Amino acid sequence: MSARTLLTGMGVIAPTGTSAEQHWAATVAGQTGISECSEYRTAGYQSTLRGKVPDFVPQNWLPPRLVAQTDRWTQLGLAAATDALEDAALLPAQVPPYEIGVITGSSSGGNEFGQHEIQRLWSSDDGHISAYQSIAWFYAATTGQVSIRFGAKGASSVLVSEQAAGLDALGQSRSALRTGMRAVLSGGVEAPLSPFAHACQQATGLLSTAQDPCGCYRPFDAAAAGYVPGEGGAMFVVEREDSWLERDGRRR
Amino acid sequence: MAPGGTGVKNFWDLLMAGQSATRTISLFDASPFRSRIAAEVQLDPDAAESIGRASGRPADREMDRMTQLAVISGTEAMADSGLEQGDFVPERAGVVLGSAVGCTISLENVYVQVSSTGQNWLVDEAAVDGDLYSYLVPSSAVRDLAWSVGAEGPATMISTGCTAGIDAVSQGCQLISEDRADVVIAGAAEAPISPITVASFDAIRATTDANDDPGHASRPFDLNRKGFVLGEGAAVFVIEKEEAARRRGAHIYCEIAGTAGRANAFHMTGLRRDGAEMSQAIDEALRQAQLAPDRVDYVSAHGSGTVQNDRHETSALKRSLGHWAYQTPVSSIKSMIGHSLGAIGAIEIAACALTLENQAVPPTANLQTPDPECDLDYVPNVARDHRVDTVLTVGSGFGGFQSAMVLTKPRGTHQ
Repeated sequence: MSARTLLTGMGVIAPTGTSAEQHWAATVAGQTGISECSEYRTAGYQSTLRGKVPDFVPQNWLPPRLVAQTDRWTQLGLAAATDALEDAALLPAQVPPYEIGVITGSSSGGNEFGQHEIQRLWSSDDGHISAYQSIAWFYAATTGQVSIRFGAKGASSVLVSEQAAGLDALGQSRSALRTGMRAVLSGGVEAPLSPFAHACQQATGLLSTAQDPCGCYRPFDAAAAGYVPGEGGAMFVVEREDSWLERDGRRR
Repeated sequence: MAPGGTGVKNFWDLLMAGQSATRTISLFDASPFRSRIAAEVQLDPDAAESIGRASGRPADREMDRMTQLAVISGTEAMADSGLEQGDFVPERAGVVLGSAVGCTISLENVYVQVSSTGQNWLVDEAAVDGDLYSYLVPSSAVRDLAWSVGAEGPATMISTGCTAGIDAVSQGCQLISEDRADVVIAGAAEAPISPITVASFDAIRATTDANDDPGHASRPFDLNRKGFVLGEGAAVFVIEKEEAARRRGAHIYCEIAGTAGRANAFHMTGLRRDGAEMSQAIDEALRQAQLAPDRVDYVSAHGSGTVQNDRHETSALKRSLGHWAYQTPVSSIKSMIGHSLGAIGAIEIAACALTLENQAVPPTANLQTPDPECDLDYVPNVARDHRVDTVLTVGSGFGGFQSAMVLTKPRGTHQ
């Protein structure tokens, strides 16, 4: 069995664009994906900038039923996974279902959906919340929904390891390919911009309080003054080399 | 750290007595909710405080309850192993914890405060303090445990819902087998008994509403079951390579001989009746262990006490073990300590290790009238002496995850 791990497809949904192409073009052009949030401004938050994915319309990727039962974080992951499979020209049915897995990483879960339901619970008297809270808020939601949407029944995992999670997920995928999987849908996704998730980050005292979207985030600069939270994700198809060659690699 | 008595001995005594630790919820006022029963851990506040100090945390910082359970279990596991700081290279010591819902109690508590009891979507950021971020990112529990035991190697949280306990221990084994660590502190913790979690399961009627008889509310495989009973707790283990453990003369509970996870790719909460995916996970775990199905002497069931789970899992066992499924005892300790979501897989591994050590299998409590579609030997109500060299434990969770692990007596001790 070949131990080589190949990255054969990618999907990116980022503040710099809703495709890998847009993301790359904006990145090499040095364009910022950071903008001001008027909602934070109104609320008097100290930090009002964030990297938000502009014009993300989940319905462009997903049926309305799936949009209704998922947090934005999972929607970003499902969209990126859809694009990654297309980019890899991989139809999940080309791989035996028990040999394709899903491994995602994040630092937090379905923040906006969760805040909405906690709010609903505490601001009403009947104790009723959405039937989807139990499947939208928890950390396994994205891996589970990606697995269901694409029929992946193989070894799957969810790594919650803060800012290392995306790399950890790919590392874990490499291990999975070495222990029997042919392909893994893997990557990191996060949507931490809803007010309560933002407040959690504010609590660290590490958020930049700069006002100018263009000059606010200054890694390695002497004037570096904190981070600007962002959202988005990248999902990849990683494949075992022998399996990829068997599938359609020789055509390329 | 299980309901009904903390520490390894109390846990095993409870299981052998077939006693239920399920009660009316005391951690908050659950009277508005449909399901008002849970299995709670008697958490000693002094122990939690000293653990907080040991992890180097300022005195005014509060650990989430899940983190407290994780750190207490982890430090007890280290003490039990006999390993002390200095016996291992810190960079070669890993920590893997499983949890399904993380620091949910603290997140909810703080949210209620900063939103004027849920009135304001735009929360009051001026009122938040330094702990809040560690509740947002539950890997903070991994950090706190790593600091407490002096581990500086690979560290992560595995959050695959209700199979996270098995999956985290599995991940720990992988770190050992890939030679990325010499010793791994691995297990799982959960503290989900809070209004939002209770409301979440109420909304889909997954939990029981047998509120008038809390002590008998968790009834896996019983015809009159009405859903699962929420629980909390933690179990953490020290995992080492066999040679290293033998060299230092460690007490070896068991060998982790095989472990696998599969997904049903079907439904976030629904299960197909045939149990095909769980069966695949079992087959793979047995293949790794190089054991035939009829070598399984005991099955620690997922046995959550929902109709669909109990039938799904019974089918999976028949698919994988064939006629042997009828010969080997199968039981669910959730009947006694409830379903602690991400933690229960690890707590069940603890029960399996103790089963191998004590040559006795825990019962399924509250099993009075078997569901005719669940026709295996579920060890009703009374623990049983039984020769056990090999144990299979399985888990099933939201998201479609199905996990299996095979544990065996240490080599040289088989009967």
